[in-house]
Amino acid sequence: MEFKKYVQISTGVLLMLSVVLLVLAGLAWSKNIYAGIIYLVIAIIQLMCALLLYPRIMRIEDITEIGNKSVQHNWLILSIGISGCALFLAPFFRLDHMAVPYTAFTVCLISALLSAFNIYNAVKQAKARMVV
Amino acid sequence: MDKKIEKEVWPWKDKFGDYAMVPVPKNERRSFLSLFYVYTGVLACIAVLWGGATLGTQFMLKDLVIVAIVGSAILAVIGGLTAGIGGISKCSTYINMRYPFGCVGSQLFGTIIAGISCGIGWFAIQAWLFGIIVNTLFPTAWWANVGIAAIWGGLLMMITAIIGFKGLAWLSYLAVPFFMLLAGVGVMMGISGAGGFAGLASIQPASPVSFGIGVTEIVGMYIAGGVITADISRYSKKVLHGPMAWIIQVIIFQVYMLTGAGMLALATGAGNIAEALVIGGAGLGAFLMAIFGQWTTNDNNLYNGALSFATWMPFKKKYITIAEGMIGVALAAWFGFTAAASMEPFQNFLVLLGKILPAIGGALIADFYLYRWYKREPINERYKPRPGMKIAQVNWVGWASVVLATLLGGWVIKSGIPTLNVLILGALFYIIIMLICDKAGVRVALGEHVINEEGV
Repeated sequence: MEFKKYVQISTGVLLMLSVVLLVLAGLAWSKNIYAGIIYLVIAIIQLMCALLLYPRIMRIEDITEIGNKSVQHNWLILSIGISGCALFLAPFFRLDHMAVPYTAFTVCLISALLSAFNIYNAVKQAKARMVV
Repeated sequence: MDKKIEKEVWPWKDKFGDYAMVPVPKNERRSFLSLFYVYTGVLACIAVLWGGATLGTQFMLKDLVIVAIVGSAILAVIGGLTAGIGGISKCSTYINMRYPFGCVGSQLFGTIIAGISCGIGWFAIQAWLFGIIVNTLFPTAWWANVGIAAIWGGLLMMITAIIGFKGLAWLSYLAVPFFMLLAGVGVMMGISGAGGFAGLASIQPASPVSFGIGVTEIVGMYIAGGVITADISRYSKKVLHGPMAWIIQVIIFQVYMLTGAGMLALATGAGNIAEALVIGGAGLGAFLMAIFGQWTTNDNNLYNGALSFATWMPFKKKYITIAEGMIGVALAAWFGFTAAASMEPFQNFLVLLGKILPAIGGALIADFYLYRWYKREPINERYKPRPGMKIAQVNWVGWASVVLATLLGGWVIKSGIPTLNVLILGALFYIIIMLICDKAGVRVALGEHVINEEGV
């Protein structure tokens, strides 16, 4: 698959995952406001990171440059994903029904893994730099 | 066209790796974001959260924020100035030190303050502290024994330092957002624990201290980082990127992190941030904080130490990093296994070495910004080494300023902020003696050293 296309599709998946987190934030808010806030913060950061990648690569044709931009955004998504995994199940953010935290944990884990693969792919396929 | 010019203009050989002895070339320079992450990675450490937690036991919330802002503003100025030097020269702090101290001076002072102090001493202490924190979090696990945790923690910290700037950046990319969130979690736990923001704001501190002491604690906690900012800013694409990255991270994120930890400490009454996070219910977050926090700081200790050793050791920087890291890990493990041993005498020795650092920073700032301005040297031409350039073996004015400022500011003057006193005195002594020597025609440079294409 063409690299630019791959970046757009994988970013779309990350975008959908962050929307799922937003929905979960809404569910958590009424049960534990602090949990709601942390879900919301993580979801918004992921959403913005994914969303802003589209206009940044729209007019670029050089795949290394696309790769560099993808690496920048995916590092942020990766680290925020790890943070989510570490915090969602913490006792302070506990909810009555643990289905929401476990779902959020899974969503974050998937986005962290996908963004890690995106970084790898950008370096491997597009010869992007890991430090940009 | 730029690339062609760059190839012609960069006449160096990076024999020691990671541009330890030579200016960073254009094609290796990094974005503002990259520098910002690395600086914030150094800041995003347990020491800052611990510092914030200590403030939480000393000040009411409003005063805590004011103290954090004033202390951070002082650090922003100091670090911003030294970052500007690196942004122009593209060389590490220890290479920049050749100008105010001479070639031998940069090797000697660099080895004392960064090599022995940061690279071995503080690296060992932080690795040992890591062992203690992991042991606090998992008291019954065999791998969390203080000595064992200090070994695997120390080895982890070595990895990114061996890789070099890239390694520091990768880790910072991972750790920084996490720490920012964690400080926010601290705020939430504090508000929750105190039953609301109003409750938190009205809590009286357990052991109140004066405003000056609070500012001293903040400045003292991070001034070493403020003096050696050129080690990172030398990688900047634009001169102002380094100072801007430093100032933003100190003024915004340090204040934010200190306040977050302080609010948690106010609410829980615990000065130990790891304990406070566990009490508050941060779960796995507390463990990741221990790992990322110590790692992002300690790899920088090792990295800076290796840069300073590289000024006189004829080995590649990565081998120097491995050697000093192994010594540090061995020391940390020894302290960890001999549980009765106290690190206090060792820490006191390192604090003593640390008193010299602000004076060196002061002389460096005075030489670059004041003396060379007085000599009408264009700012973009300052501290630009080139092969065949002659520099002094010893600049006795730099040496004398450091000794006088350290003695006077460190021991004689009892008021104000000691670290800041030493820095200002270092700058004052340097500029005054240089100007007097200049007017009187007294020779300040002793001996001569010719820089070769390897930067040696």
